[in-house]
Amino acid sequence: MKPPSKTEAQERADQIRAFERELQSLEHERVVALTEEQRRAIRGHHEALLTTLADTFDIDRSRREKQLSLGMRIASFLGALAFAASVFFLFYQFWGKLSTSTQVVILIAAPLLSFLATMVISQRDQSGYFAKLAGLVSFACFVLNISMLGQIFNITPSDKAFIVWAAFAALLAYACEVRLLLVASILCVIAFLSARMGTWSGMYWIHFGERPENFFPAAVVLFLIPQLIDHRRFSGFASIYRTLGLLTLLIPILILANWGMISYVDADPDTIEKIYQVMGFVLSAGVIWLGIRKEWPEVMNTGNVFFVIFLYTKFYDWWWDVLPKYLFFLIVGLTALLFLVVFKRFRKTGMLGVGGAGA
Amino acid sequence: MGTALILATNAVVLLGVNSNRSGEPDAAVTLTERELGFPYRNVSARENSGLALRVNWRVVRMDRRAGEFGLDSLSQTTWLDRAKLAALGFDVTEEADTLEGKRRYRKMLPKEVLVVLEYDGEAHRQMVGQAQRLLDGETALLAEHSGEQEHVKRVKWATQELAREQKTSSRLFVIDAGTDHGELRAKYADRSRYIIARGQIRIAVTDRAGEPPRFSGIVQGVAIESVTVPLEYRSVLDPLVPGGPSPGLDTSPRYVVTLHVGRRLEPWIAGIRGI
Repeated sequence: MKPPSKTEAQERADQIRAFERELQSLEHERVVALTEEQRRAIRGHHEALLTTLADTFDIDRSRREKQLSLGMRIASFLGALAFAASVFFLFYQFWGKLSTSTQVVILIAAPLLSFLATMVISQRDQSGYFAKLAGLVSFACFVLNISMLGQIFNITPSDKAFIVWAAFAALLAYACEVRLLLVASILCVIAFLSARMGTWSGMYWIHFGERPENFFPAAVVLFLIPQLIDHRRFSGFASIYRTLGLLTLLIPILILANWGMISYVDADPDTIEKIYQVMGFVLSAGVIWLGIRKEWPEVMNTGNVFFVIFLYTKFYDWWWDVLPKYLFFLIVGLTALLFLVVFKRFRKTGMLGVGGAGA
Repeated sequence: MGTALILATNAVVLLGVNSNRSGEPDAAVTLTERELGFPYRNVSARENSGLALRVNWRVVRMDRRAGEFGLDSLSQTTWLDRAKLAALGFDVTEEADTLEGKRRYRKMLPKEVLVVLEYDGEAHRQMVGQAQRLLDGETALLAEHSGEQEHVKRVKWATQELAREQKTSSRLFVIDAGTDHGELRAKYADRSRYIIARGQIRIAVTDRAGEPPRFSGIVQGVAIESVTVPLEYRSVLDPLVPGGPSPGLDTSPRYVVTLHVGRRLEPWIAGIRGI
């Protein structure tokens, strides 16, 4: 059966290599001995499969190829950011010397041409690195397009720009399977939904960040998207939705747990902080449980991180000023040890699944 | 689909621009360098060949007494009283001298409203009058304490303040706010003197020792912060930009700008000429 995504194809290739190494070990220890015919059949099947997977998904067939791929990913990421920055600065350098109509034509043509170029490149580039570069440049051109039109014509800033940027980034992300663009799209969606929440509550939209509760609806929406829409064909997309959804929920709760004054709730700030602290503990523990149960390692890890942060900030509040520092850090270390013991017990009793939906 | 999204978004933006600039402008005011000044110079300006003039707006501040130094809040006004704040949609039923009241007002976020900017009108005359009274007061104090350096300094400072108000400070003042454009325009009908723009009002709590806490309105910002200069007018301003003198006490404004504000309350420059 053909794997639906590059991740699954890469996992299959890694599985084949691991199988070959394990088979060698078993033969060396005389546990099993394959006949020449069996060996030829397995080798032939694996070769054909790896060739097909490499042609279709451009997977890494060896450890060396894997290391080179990592290097290419880093180069692609840095190159994409640099090109995007270059687009911005290039326009800023010369726009003052152009007439308004020329500025408008260039601003509209840039994202159009770069979008078309991205589509052409993504058809021809199996590896996806060049498509990622082109896609990010196209997104940068579109952001520049709208923001510069706003400057040229002195248009009142609006949160609606975020939703069109989100839509364009999502389009590119899904067309070219670029996770960085999905992250850009999600960040724009978060900004838009939170700004809308702020506007509906009566504030000027630019101040949406001053009320962290504005982010909660966006968090819920993001977390539910991969549950409602199948993302198996898009490697790592589901994990990104879940992780960013959790961050959008837990970071505001962490802020409110320490700064109750900025909550919508009209109550004593100390009381608000206590409520959010309890909520933070309960939610992060719930997230850990959910991550273990559903075999979502990114969810479990995010829950872990925030549980520890909530715990250590409470330790700090209770004991930093009262205990000698060595004792404070001893308690922190002992707590970490306790976590280790608990997780080891989980592992032993098989509560952690083997493997999982990796990014 | 990407192509359609790009084209559709740009069409919406440009149609909005056209809608803003069609018909009679909501305001057409001739301002000078005092009100529309060059941007503050910084490193990034070298990387940016565009030019946007900075809108310098002010509010009439509370009268300062002779002998008092110190900075007043430049955006605290006398006309944003309780009734006005209530009319703008703020819940101001609580008193600021209770713990709950103080907390509630400190938590309140800015609201977007419509503000009225007056050019070279009564507000500016008030400020000139204040500066004159301040100078008269300091001069009288100097006469009582003749020779004292402190009072000599104060008279010099008050003289400079008056000169600033008369010659170089902006004459564009935020004088009113509301939520209905029609009502505001009916009240301030002169489109060559009054600009209606979007702005933000915030509540501030003043809590000084020895005085009961009180809240007041602050003009947090005006949506028109800067106006981009089109290429056709750059020839007037470009010779003035790098190394050009900023208006000091003895320097008059070097240019006038005809500023139009459209139906969507978005401005554009309709003309610039040197003085």
